[in-house]
Amino acid sequence: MKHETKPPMRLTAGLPAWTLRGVVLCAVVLIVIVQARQGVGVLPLTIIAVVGVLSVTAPGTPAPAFLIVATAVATLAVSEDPFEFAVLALIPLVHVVHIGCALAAVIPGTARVHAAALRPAAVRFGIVQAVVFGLAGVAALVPKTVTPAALEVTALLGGAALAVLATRMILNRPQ
Amino acid sequence: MNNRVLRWMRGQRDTGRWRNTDAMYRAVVVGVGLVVAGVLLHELVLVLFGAPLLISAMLAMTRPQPAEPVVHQPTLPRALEQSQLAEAVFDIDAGPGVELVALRAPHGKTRGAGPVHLLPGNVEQVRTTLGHGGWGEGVDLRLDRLFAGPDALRVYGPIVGTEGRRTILPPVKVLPAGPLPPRPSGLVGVHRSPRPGDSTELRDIPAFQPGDRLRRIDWRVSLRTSAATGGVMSPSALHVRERHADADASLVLAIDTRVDVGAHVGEWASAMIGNGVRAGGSLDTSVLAACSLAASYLRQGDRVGLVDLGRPQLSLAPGTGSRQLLKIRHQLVICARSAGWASKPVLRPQQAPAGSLVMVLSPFLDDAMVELTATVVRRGTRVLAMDLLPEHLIAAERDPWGEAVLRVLRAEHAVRLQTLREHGIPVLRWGDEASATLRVLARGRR
Repeated sequence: MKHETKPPMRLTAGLPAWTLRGVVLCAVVLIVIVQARQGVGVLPLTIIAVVGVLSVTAPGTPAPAFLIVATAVATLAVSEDPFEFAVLALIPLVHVVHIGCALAAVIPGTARVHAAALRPAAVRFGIVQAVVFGLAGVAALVPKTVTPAALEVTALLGGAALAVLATRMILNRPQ
Repeated sequence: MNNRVLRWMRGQRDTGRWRNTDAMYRAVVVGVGLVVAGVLLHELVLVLFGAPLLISAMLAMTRPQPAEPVVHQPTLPRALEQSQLAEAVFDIDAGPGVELVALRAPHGKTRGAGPVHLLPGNVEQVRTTLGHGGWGEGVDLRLDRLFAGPDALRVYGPIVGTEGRRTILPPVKVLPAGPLPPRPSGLVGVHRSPRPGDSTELRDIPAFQPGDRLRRIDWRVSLRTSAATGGVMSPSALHVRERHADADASLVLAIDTRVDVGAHVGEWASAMIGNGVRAGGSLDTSVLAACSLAASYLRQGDRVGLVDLGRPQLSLAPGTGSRQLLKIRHQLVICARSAGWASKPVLRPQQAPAGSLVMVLSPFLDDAMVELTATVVRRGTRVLAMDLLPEHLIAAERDPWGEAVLRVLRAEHAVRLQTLREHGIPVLRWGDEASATLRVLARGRR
């Protein structure tokens, strides 16, 4: 079978690397706006905004992780219904922050980004969000009754086992 | 366990192997933490926030582990003309698990090694062009690279690439070559020698003497002479046509690399980024002028040499032919690269052969240059000074003494040029019509 080689890619200017950080900044601004409308206090909002700015300027630091946790905790504090629009809007936004910071962290601020490079990440983002919203849909259908203690303990042990497994997979992955 | 942690820490620092990024740890720790906390607290919100991160990490871990990715750097020409571009194609052997390639390469008309480009991982070949920008030597390629898996959760690199240096030769502007003083030795070339020879230009019609060739007899003049003396053709009535000999000439281009000044006086003390030459400055003009003059005179068969007055060891002996032009252009790049202040300009007698014309290209900003030029003239060498100080100087704006400094500079410069003229040295500016001056020099004392 004849192996067909692709034609060489002509190197063009592409987009500035700050486009990625701009996307993260937009997501951070939207997170702050949504949380302000949810009724989150000024101090938590300030903390989220500061950590958000840090995430944009230094995406390779723990700042994005703090931002995601702070957003989740603040939403938990003010939200009564997990299926309200604000909560569902925040889920893709924190995911955008996660992916945007992950990509921005591996290139310098002066780099050029070619749109074709972001296509696989965008497709995966859509798939993951579809799975998460499917999960939310399933959760919305489940009756809100008290779960038997044995089932909860089993679920907890299962979660712990998953965490240990994931950690071991990372540490023992062949280099 | 301690050994395992140490090994993990060493692995995180090792850029020559695949390793997890901060984003991977964020996805796993925050994802698992939020999901477990959500289950513990019976809060679906936390689970929904943590699930995308955890699923992303799991999708990244299910991808096959890529092999060691490689970028092949092509062999490229070391020297280019300014109008010439080198096409470079880099082969990327990344493997199926690689989703992103961050590669440093120049694009468009950017100078230097260029920015880092974030490219898709399935790209096998990248094409770009090198050689943009002005003349000079510099690094225009360094393929720094980093390869990343899905969502940049795992990376290989960064790896610093090998530097690719290239020399962009100064451009040649073809000028009409003027007459030069012929060399006392050598009977080839395009310049008229004072001695008799075999060219076509008539020198004299003397009476025939023993030893003169018979085919040189000018019968018309001889018959007229014999008619004037009674119509008898005697040996004393015979005359011969004598022609000039052809000779080549030597031109020595002496460039002053000790200073590089532009029109803005306030910027004279600041260093230049890049190839170190101020665009449009005195050194840039010197190099371009030297290139053009060398090309013009070498094309008509003359001998052209180069002298770096700041660094005499970088000089080139006079020579002929297209290879000499190439040598001069390369040497000019080397001279410009090594340019810098030297307290005393040097032009040794052996660098300017007897009978050669020395063309001094300098902005004449110090007395040492005037002394050197006058010394060369006193040795009996014909010298032409080319003043390369920018015509319209601009005073330093923020300096209250800027205008005063500029007036002093101009006055000193005018005095230096006048001194040169008093020594019998013609002073020209680059772009002036030099033929008349050269003709006078060529006719000068032999």
